Amino acid sequence: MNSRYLLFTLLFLGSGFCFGQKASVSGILHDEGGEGIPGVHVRLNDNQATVTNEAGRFVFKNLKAGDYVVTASFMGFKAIREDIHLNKGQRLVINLTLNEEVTQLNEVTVTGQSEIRALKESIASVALVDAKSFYNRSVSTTDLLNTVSGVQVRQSGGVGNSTEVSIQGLTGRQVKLFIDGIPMDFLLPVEELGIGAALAMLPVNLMDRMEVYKGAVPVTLGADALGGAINIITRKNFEDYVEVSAEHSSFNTWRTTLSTRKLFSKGLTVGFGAFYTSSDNNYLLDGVKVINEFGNPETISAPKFHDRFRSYLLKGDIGLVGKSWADRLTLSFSYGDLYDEIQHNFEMRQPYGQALNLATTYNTALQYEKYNISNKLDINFYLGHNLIQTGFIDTTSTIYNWRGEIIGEKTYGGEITTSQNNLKLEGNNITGRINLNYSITPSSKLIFNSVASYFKRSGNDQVAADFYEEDYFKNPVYINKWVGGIGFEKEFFGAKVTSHTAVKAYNYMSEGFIIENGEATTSEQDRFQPGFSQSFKWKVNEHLLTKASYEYATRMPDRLETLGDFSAAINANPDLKPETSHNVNLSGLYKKAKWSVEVGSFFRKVNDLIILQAVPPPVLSKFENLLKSSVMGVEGEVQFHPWHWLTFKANATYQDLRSRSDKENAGVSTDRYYGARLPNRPYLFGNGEVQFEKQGFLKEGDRLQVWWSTAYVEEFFRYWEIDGRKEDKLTIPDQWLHHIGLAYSAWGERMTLSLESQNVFNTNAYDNFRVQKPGRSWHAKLRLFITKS
Amino acid sequence: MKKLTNYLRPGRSLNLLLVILTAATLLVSSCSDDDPDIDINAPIISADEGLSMRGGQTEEFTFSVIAPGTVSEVKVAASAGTASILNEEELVGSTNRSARISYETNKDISGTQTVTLTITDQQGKSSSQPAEIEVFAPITFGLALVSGAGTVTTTFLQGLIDLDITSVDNSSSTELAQFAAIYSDGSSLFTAGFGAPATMGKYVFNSAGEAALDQEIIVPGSNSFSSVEIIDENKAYATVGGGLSRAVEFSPSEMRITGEIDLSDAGDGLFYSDMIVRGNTLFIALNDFGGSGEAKVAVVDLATNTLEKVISDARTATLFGTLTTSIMVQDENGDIYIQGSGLFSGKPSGILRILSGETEFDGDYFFDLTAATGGSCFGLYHFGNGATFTAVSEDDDNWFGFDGDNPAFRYRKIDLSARTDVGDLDASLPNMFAASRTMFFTQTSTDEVLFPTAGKDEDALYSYTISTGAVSKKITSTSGYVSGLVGVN
Repeated sequence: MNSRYLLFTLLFLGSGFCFGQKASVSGILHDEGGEGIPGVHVRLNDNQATVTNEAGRFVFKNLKAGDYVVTASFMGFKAIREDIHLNKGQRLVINLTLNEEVTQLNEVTVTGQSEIRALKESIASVALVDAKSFYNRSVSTTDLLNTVSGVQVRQSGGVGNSTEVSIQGLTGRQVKLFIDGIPMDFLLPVEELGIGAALAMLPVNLMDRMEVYKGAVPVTLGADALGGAINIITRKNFEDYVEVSAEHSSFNTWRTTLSTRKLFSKGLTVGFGAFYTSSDNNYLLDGVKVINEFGNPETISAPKFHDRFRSYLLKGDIGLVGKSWADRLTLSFSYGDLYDEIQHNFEMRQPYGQALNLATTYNTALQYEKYNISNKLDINFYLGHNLIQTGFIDTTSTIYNWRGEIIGEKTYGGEITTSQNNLKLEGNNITGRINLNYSITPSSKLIFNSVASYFKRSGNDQVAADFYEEDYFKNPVYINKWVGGIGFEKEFFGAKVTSHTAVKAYNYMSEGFIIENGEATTSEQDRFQPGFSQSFKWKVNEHLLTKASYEYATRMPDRLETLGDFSAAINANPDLKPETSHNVNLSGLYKKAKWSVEVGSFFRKVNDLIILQAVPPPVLSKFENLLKSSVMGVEGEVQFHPWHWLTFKANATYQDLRSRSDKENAGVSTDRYYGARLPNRPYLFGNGEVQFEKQGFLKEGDRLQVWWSTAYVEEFFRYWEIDGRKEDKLTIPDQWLHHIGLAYSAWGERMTLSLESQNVFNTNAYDNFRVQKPGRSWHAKLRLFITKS
Repeated sequence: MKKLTNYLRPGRSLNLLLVILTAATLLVSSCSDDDPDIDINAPIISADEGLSMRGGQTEEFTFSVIAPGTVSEVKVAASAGTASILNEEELVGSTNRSARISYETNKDISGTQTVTLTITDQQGKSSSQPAEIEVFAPITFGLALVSGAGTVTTTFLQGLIDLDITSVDNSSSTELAQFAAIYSDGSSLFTAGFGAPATMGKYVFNSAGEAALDQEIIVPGSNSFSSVEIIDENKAYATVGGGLSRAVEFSPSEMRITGEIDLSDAGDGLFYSDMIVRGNTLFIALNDFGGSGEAKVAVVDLATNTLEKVISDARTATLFGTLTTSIMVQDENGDIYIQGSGLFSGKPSGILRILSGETEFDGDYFFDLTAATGGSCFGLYHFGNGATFTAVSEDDDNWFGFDGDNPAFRYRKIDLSARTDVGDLDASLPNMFAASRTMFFTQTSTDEVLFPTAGKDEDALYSYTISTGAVSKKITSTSGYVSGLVGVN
């Protein structure tokens, strides 16, 4: 007990706060899988009622001692009743399980499931990350993605640094990211600054969940995703609440969020959210070189000195919910800003001291949702305007060493570019999406999705213009995209088997410029590409669910690839063909009350990979269709929940990525790379986590969580495995990182304080090209969550 | 077990102590250093440590021999190669003398070898002593291959004992972290890497013949070394490109920068394509990627390491070269010839001349390569006796090899004095990716020059015989294209 109070003191909590004379009853309503169910109506006797929050929690306070009846009901579940007795001042915690109403029609059962479970059991090959479970933790969006089997997130450094997401072996541009179903690159500066900076603008506490589609990508996600898609669903609590979280961690990192919503009596709802993230990223780098007066290197360890990252976002929405003509109609606005210093080149050889990226985003969107029109039709409509302004500043000729000292001046040029740059780009994007879901019969439905976007970008760079005697960036670039899809879903054999057939169409029109002999000439491209997918789901029994899918996926050449980028010395190539892939996925999920096992296998055969054929600048490089590859892999995940206070999760992925290029497709003169393992790609990795949870740790209504998580990546070669002397080939070494943490929640989850150490053994961690990632870091996070209930 | 427990009873502690002491005495005595097999009167042999030699050679080593019983018989054996005793007659009958051993190795022997000397005295007592000798593979050439596919390619280094091979791969090569061109000071191999910051590595070959990094020179703030000219083991020059308008003077043997040449007055944004030293003057080819529409050469006074002037000529332009390619040559008269590509300028490819003793372009000399060959040209090599080469592009749109199925360059023989195109170096040679992959000519003997082809179907080294002009395939690479070949010792 003394240790508990010591911990209690460490957590800066006063025990006297919460003890009152009135009693209360609180708890969690969860489904048979142990997941909290939001939106359940909970009644206390006949005179009090509330609705569970996003985690399935409820609370009744200020109760007198006595006998009570708690009832809970939700569509698709059997209603339950619990008789309780409260003593004076007692804070009773009860956890209730809702069982599915199996006699109901299947589509009703689906709506009765928790949203996450419904998605898991849908025909889509999808992995879900419930962000709500991580609100108390010090984790980033990339940390969460990395916990999914088959998914690898590779970062070149710390907060906001270059990031690449891979799903079942396909990576980079082949994986598409969405926010609430809208392609992320329409909303955030993905193309300009990369996924890393964009994901850093999405704090976990402003998310509801992440959906990772590994197999056939649903038609509702309108984009040309070759190798899977990630849809980040933002938080949409249907209750009055205010949440504030603040996290401070090593390397002077701050993450703060504010999220609030108010529901008014006539269905009017107003929400506001904000976040601020900043980090000095000044962690220690080992093995960097400083050069003496004779040009000889000395290897030292030094902290990063120019890698600060800062971003913030303000967003608000106003709308109506629960109207007969609209389940939801919202008008939303957001404003975001980003500052990102660049510390070094991509191989971490050359330090920079002043170069940086800037970005500002303005988004305005109108969204309309109406479900069950005549019990047949769901409508989801989105119209948005997005303005993305980015800046790249490289205007100094100062030379820095790894100690951050100035050691000289260049004769000309910037730290990164030959010309120096003060580049400002402005991209305007208008996007419209309509999604229709029509139930033809109780066992069949038709899904239609159409996304159209119009993009225009232009800019200016007077500094570069002074060097080149021409401001090439003022030339506008236009891109119009349309992605449409129709899916037909049908249940057979009493809903034991479900089939989903989809056809997609991609149309891409662009207009940009090519630089030839110093002259800019217009370049146009107009491409059309079809896609197809077929998925099956077989619910063998109440425990076993199997899925299979095939997709002929395609990825259109993007703006950079087809139109080039003069600032990156890349010329246009209007003749590029789309990348295509045959994707096959098989998976099975066996789930019992206390444990589950999920096993999946996947196969990809990718043609016409688009890769950069680099030549030394100022000669312009060009993207070309080169290489074919195949991916075969297996992945598995085990979850074990033997008691309510213990959860165990582990997953592992093995993926065998092989070149399927003969010499013509590989840009070499022999076929020796046919069948060779692709270099610089992880092939074996996994994650694990154990979490202990104690309700009523110090007093009723509080909760203590303690967790240990680990991530492992097997050593892999930087260059082709078949080349060179094996003993001393360059590798990205084995990495086994461990994180530990605890979180204490009090006042019925209203306040949580968490402490965490990531990479607790201070292991050297690397990703791309052995660029180092942070060592051990310490995190403290405070979260306050206030609801009306 | 029962007896042991008896000893452990109270009052029996003295007995227990006795047992322990007895056991300990037996244990210690059994571990004595005294080896009953060693006879202190037997011959004593000792050998030096740290012995090394070059494979394929014969070296002499000595063993110190003390034989109280007088040497009666001497034998020597080697783990590989042949060892023989040079002074056997002196040794027999002596009690204290050095044994001189001759050790002969073949070229293919390398690594740690053992030579064992055995002495038997007149009492029949015998001793043997091995000596470890590090035999260095007799590497005479350093070879660089560029291997890999897609965007993942890099340079692999290996040493070759000789060139009497028909194929080469990279299985015993050292993998570098970036693309690099190779150079030599006659003994070691040097790499100039492409990528920031400019990094030069000095590699030595270990006894197994593997290239191992010895030292580095790095020029911070520069994007890459752009050309290297090694005069001898003590003096060399290297230009750096991308931000620093500078050449550095360095000592290859000590691997340290010994001086700098400021080239900023020659202009900004230039790539230094090639350089050549004549007497006390350094000529540096300046590539402005067609911006000026002229060919420009910086003239540097090496006595003071200062830029003397920049000379220019508008008859051709864009002195384009890569790290591995030469565009400046000097003939037997001391005349310097400089090849301009004309790229990005609308000018023809052509060759300009700086006469011996002059530091200006020869206004009377211009070799219009485009007019002579029908295309734009890349590179210039000259070995005398009519052995002068360039490469002509059949498709300027594929100069940089973006279309990997259609290599566009062909080697061409030209006559500098007559300013004429002699024709294909050899009609049987395939088209190749000269500008985007590899091109060099290395003289490997007085009558032989080797040059690479990087083509659609094969990567190889070809031989050109200077006296006859004959061309033949010499070595095929099965692991990528050959980007460099230098002599080392």
